[in-house]
This record gives sequence, structure tokens and C-alpha cells, in this order.
Amino acid sequence: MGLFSNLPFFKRNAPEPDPAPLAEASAPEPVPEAEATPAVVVTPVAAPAPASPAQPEVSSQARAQAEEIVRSVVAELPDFITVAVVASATGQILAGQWAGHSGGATEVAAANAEIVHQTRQSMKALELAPAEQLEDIVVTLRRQLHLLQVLPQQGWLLYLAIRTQDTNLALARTVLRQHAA
Amino acid sequence: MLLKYLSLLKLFLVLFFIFRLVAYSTSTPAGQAVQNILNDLPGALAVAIVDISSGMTLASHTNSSINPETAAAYNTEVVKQKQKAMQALKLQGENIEDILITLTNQLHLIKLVDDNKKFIYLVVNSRDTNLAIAREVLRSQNELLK
Repeated sequence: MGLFSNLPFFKRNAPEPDPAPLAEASAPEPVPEAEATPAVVVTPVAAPAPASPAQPEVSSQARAQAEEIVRSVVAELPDFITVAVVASATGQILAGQWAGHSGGATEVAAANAEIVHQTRQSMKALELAPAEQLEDIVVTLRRQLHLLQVLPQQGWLLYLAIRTQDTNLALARTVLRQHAA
Repeated sequence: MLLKYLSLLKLFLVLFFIFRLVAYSTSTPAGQAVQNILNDLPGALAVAIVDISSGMTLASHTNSSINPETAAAYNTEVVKQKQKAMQALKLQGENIEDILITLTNQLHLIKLVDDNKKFIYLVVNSRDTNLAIAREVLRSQNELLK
């Protein structure tokens, strides 16, 4: 559900008489910071998410902080595939850099937020001790590692994808954990 | 008379606990895998072999208050969600090997086996077992569950 709530095509099309130019005009405006970073191939086309009326406004201060986190992770792990900071409640991308393909960036962000949400639900259902808090989730693929570090202070997720041949899990986790403290 | 009832009640209680804790038989590969994991990690908090299409456990065991059936149902959704994320990324030739969830004092490991048709779910205390050991133990069950 989290995945598709970000795609307000149908809602937009119904009330507005001339939806195409409107959508074009509003599409690039949501993720300006992410585009401005040099190494990035972020496609704002795939970002109808912030256009949705349900998304709360993110302060520029928060965005700057998210940018800063992304920049410092990139500095420490230059062989990354994706580094992104995602608001864990909405799945909205606050800042990010994509070294390879960027197709479906918002979908991936939303899906990752949903994974964390799902895990929290499962923790609730299991009635674990209240001291048990989610720290991170690591997904091992055949040649890639996907890490989701919870940043509890801001309620954000730090998402990192790397190739296993470039970076090992222990190193990647150490770098991400520095930002959670 | 009362004594007789009491002993019967005791018997029921014992049976109840045995069947609640040991929900597997070692005659199936899944049950055997659970047994092997418990032999290697006697301190494991919970173990389950789960069928992904239904989210139901094929065999499970718990040493704590964690209900493996509940955990299996929720974690199946986590796996499916991640598969959806990978489809969105259009990753080719990649598949999920495992998912590790770190909590304050616990590690939850989901290891996909048998062509992504099943997963092994393992909960350990992070003070007793580290990630490398837990992964190695699960990896050794790969062949058995094919």
C-alpha cells in the first residue's frame, strides 16, 4: 500500500482539465538538492511522490542535514551503488546519490520504508521486550549488499547499496552506525 | 480421586509444553534442519523453516517467548516486500541470499533456501552468537532443504 500511495496519477487526472503540463511543471520541484549533487543521475521523472498532497513539507534544514549524512557516507565508501536518506514514515527520499541505474528510485525508497514498517509490526506482534529496538536490516544478494540503518533521532532511514566485491559488510555497517549515534 | 485428576492434569500440561516447544519431527528434511541448527546453536531463541508461498512453518522450535508461527507470517511479508523492491530496481541475475535484522540484544536472520521457496528463520541473542557463526550454521543446512 505504501508503494502505491505515492503514485497519485489517477487522482490528479480526474479533477484537472490539463494534467500533462501541470504534472511536468510540478515534477522537478520536489527533489532539487538531490539533482544538484554532481555524481548523481537522479531522475526526477520517477518522483511523483513529493507531489502527493499527503506528503508533509520537509524543512530545508532537515534536507541539509540529510544531504550532509549522504555526503559523508559517500566520502567514506566511494564504491557505493546507492546512498539515500529516506523518511521512514512516508518513504520519501530526502537526499540521495545514485552511482548506477536510478530507475525506480522512489519505489525502492518506499519499499524499503515498508520493510522497516513490516519489521516493526512483526516486533510488536512478537511482544519483544520494550528495550529491543530495531537497529539495522541487512539484505545480502548474490553480488550486492543492501543496508538499512535506522536513524532513531530523526526517524529516518539511511539506505546503502554496495557491491560485495568492493566493500565488506563489517566496514559498511561501521560507517552507517556512526550516523545513528 | 482428586489426586488422580491432578496427575492427569499434570500429564496434559507436560504434553502441552512438549508439543508447544517442539513443533517438528526429525523424519522430514525441515525437522532435521531445525534439529541440526539447535545442535549447533543450543542457545538459539527460536528457529523455524517457513514456506514462503503460504507463510506457514514446516518445522519450528522456540526457547523463548517468541512464537515462531507469528514471526514466520510477518517475516514472509518482509521477504516479499524486499523482492518487490528488487523488481523495482530491475536487478538481473541477483537474488536474495539472506536478510539480517539487528535489534538491541537480538539478531534475527532470514536465510532463503530452495530457490526462494522456503526460508530458515533464526533468532539468537547477540551476546551469545555472532552473525558470522549464525550465518555459517544456516548455510550448512542449504543442501538438506533442497
